[in-house]
Amino acid sequence: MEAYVGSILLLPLVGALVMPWVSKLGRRAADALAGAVGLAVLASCLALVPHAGTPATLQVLGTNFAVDGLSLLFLVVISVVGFFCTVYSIDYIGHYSGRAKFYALLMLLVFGLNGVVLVRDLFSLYVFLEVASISSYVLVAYNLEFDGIESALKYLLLSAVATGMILIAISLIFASTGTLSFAELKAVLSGGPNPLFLFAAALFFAGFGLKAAVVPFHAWLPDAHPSAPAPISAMLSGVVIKVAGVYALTRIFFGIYAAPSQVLKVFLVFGVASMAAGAILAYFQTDMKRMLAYSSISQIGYIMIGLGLGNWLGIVGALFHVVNHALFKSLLFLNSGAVQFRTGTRDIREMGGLENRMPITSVTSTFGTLSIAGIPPFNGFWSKLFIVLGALAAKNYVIAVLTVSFSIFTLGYFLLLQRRVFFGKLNERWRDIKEAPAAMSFSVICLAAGCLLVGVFFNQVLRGLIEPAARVLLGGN
Amino acid sequence: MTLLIGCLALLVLSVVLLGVLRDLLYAAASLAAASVLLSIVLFQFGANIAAAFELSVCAGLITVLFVSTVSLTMDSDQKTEAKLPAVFLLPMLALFAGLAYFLVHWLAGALPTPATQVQALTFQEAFWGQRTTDILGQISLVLVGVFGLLAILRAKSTGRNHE
Amino acid sequence: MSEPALALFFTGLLLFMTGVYLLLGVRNLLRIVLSVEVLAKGITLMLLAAGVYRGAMGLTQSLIVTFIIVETILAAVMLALVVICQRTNASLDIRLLSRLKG
Repeated sequence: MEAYVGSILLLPLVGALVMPWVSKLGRRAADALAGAVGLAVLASCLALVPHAGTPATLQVLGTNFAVDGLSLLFLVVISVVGFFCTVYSIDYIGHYSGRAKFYALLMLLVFGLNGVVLVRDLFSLYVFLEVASISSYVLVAYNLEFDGIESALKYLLLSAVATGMILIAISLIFASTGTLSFAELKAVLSGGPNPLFLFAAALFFAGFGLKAAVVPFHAWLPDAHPSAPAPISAMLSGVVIKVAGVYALTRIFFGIYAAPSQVLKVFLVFGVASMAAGAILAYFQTDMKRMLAYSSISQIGYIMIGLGLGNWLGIVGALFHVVNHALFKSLLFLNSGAVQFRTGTRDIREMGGLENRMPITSVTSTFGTLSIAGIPPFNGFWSKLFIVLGALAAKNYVIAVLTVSFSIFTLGYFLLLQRRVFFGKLNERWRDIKEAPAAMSFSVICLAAGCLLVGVFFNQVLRGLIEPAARVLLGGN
Repeated sequence: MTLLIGCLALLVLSVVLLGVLRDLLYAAASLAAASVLLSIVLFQFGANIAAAFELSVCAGLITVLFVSTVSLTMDSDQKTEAKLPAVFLLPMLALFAGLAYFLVHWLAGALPTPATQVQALTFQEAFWGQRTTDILGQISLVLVGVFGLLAILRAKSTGRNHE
Repeated sequence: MSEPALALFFTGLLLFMTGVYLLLGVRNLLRIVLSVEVLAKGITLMLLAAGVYRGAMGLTQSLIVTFIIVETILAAVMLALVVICQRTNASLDIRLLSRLKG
């Protein structure tokens, strides 16, 4: 087990370290290294899945790390999306210079995210969060075009305030208890409510809520995610907001604070606000990636609602939705990247009729659309069903009705997107465009197959991956 | 205690200067002064190594980086800088001081008296013994910084571009 | 109650709030970088205050050292972004960066 965790953590770091030398051997060597590291990390994560039920503490290079069901769920999400984004980049990144630096930063981003889910200490969590964040600032600006740089700066400045609040909370907690490890903090907090911890909780919520792009802390996301290169948009929307935001929030509020009911109410309120605002704003977008970015805010809202319900069904639904959203949103972002790669535009109004020109992209986008809208048998259906069932079980009928109606609304605007981009009359400008290159198509086909397979075999996924994670969260109650 | 209060007051003063000085280089110098004062404060509490880091890295390296950026960009925008933040700085500072005083007052009541002192580790024991995860994080941060700077400051796309 | 720790908490909070105020108020990107540094000084003081209060200087020093590394890397990346921003935009006035107005 230590070997697997060791390779999950260290391979991306070593890969980034040797990348400059390997890339001297040629472009293909850099591609091969990045792909091999991604595949090895993915294989190690999948090898850990059978152990999902047994938490373990282990040492890598004399450093303590820990794995449990929750960490494993997020590790699998990171490595799956990370691998397919790396493969996709092989063709996509061709038109930027500095391929080796791109791969190195992508690997460091994966390393930082893996670190965040494997540490059990508040300050180390912050450090790995910064590793992931700083690499994502650079990657957002990677095209060196104006909007990328601008949104990277905006992302950076808002994040600086957010991490500042997180650090103030950490220092208050340290002053109050003298420890930073999750287990010891939990023991201290079980002694009774403490006003200082509530103040720290508010700071944590604002800080990590900004990382998760929960409304009203979402201002950076609709700029940063569309301006990034497509594989990075997919990583940011599919993984980074979940690990830096949702994972950290659940680890702190369920793991340390044992989910008091006030906190759950806050989750619910902000979840509903994000779900509604994200969906409504998405409807008005004419930029394809911007629409997807707003829809990410809306889907994060679903996850927050599921967590805020606080019962078994809600939490299982929320964690399942983390996996599903990672799959279909990275799929949709990669497809929007393929469209942009061939047409050079992201404006929905200029597109139309691409289905015969780009059949793979069109079909896989349909898969993504059906998943995100929650149409059975695709994966999104099951997680939304669990969240709705959780709301009904909690006798929270307003939430149930809202969740279902915004799900229908989501279907509406995604069908609109699908129709305007892929169906209808072919715009004459796009007469000669071709399907996306092989590596890009390979990634989206795999992710689309993932959406369908997770939906069909949802029971196995629930048993193997989601329920151990949900048990970790509810073990605190 | 008097020395501490003096240093902290000067620290706040240098931040005020940073806010009101019109010339960016003087503002950068005030930041460097703030760093030096912070390192004196750190030194007073026996945090020698942290003080050395603050002095060399924050007061030294960051100032150098900042000044070279100022000269690289040859900033011509100083006249467009808004006057309002500087004008309102002192009243806002008073407001923030009130808020901070209120918070600290509340903290003094809410913080439990440290009954059991944490076993007083030395820096070496704490850093190399307990916080090894952070060392791993630092190594990767340095890598992120190197690749990040190389990536941002690289020559712009050479190959085929969109349209 | 340990008075030095409270004085440190007070100054730390004050600097943090001032940093956020300057960050929101100023227009020049280089000034924004300076504001982020002010904010970081405040956080260093907060970490120090916590350590002084607990009497755990060794541990706190190592936290502060790590934080200083983070702060430096962040400042370097931020300055590089500012340089490249000025190259593509020929200005450092954030009023010209429509999206930074938030």
